[in-house]
Amino acid sequence: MDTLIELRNASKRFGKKVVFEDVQFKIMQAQTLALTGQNGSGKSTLLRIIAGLSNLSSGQRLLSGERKKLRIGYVPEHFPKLHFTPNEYLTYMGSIQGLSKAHIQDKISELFDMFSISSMQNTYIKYLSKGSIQKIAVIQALLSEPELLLLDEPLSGQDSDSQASFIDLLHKYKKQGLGIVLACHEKFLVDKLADRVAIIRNKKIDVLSSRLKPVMTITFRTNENFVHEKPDFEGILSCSYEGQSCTIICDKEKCDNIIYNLLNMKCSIESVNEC
Amino acid sequence: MSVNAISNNQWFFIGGKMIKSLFLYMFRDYLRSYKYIVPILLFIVFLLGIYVDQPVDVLGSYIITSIFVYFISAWLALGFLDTEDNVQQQLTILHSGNQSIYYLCKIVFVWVITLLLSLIAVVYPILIHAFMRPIDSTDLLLGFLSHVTLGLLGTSIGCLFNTRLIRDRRLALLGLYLVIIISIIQGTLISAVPFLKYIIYLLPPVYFTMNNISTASNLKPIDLSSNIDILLYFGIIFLYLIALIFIFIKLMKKKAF
Repeated sequence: MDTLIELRNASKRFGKKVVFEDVQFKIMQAQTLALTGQNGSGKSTLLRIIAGLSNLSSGQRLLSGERKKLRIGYVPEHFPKLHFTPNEYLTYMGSIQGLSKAHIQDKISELFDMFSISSMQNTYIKYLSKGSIQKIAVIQALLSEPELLLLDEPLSGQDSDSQASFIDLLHKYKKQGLGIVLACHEKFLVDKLADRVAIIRNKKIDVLSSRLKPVMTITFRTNENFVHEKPDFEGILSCSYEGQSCTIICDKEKCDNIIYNLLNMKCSIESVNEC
Repeated sequence: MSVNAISNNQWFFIGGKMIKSLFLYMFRDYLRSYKYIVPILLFIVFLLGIYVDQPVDVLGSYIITSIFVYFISAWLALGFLDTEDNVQQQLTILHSGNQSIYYLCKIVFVWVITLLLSLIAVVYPILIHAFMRPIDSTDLLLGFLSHVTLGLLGTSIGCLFNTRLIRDRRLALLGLYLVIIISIIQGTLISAVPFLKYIIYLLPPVYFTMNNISTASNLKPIDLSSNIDILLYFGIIFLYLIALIFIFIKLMKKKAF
């Protein structure tokens, strides 16, 4: 499987505010990477960096091999309420990419049918419902047949039928080789789509190799004798410290064992959650 | 068709088509935003108003309308740059595939509007026979040059004060019109506050260019061969314009989203 984009030692700051530091991961072809984290943790910023729309404060964003360009489709969280009809907007965007008029019209018809919004193609986008606007956002991203699709909260405002067909569609595109980066809060979406999960927490990003095993987060308070390193217990995937507080991410099946060991080391457990 | 099979000529053709589509998209978006109505109306009212009393001095009236075009074009540029919101800009940039071309197209788009305004401001008084003497080719050249250079300068400065670079809209407007006003009165300001001269010299040489034209004879056409410094000042403004475009694109790319 080819790498599409790689982030190396990537850091992003807005003034003095650090969004994330020293992050590295690869985005692969035909794989879905899910970005999760609390509101304001930097998921959208990271998506814009991957898209090349935002600059890193330090580190590198590398395209694989000798590529100079990558076709990227981007679905923003809030698509603008434009004074264009979907048909006009998509035709312009297609022409700006250099696609032929006939190709654009074929593609628009195909995608409109797929998303069941053919009846709305001549209504101004600003008058459409949130769910319909979100579908237009997805269509514009798929118009150029991208190699990498970046989705920022793609299911917001969509009904359950649309969500199901959207997930099926992404599976279909993934099988064809599309790389997907998905920023979302919905656990079921992560479960259904993600091959890998990146958790943004405490200005770090922990990329878990597989989503197939369920994972837990354990937050505990260390004692004075505790060495601030990754504890040497089986099943720990990542570990981060903030003062005397430590959060670890671990395999669910090893969770009980890890808690037992931590209690033996006189650490006080603050919370245990499935994530 | 594979990428390798596309010849340079075809790339040029595709690139040209893409830029044309980008212009058409910007045009349609701007047209539907109605952000141009107030400045354009004000321009028309001003132009009609200034030629109510006739006959008027050729270059004197051209200087006044040039300065007005300078103001209006800065206003238009600021409005145009803010027509697309941030997310819309991000998507257009991704579709166009090149940030520099996208920003260059934006600045050229406002230039085209400015060129039209300049053309109207030069031709209108000729059509209504508003001048006190017949105009010759030098008057036309200077009239057109002063409108175009100041118009382009206004748009380029206006672009630098867009809300992506200066988030506070009121601060942006204040800064923009401060720069414009100081550049118009820079000579007077230097005489009044000499220690500020090095800062004021950094601003576009609008005062010096217009001053050169206005001190020339009003009664007969200017002999350009003995007033070559007038053209020199226009040359400096053009160099200034190129620097502004470069700074604008650099800043927009650096600021990103």
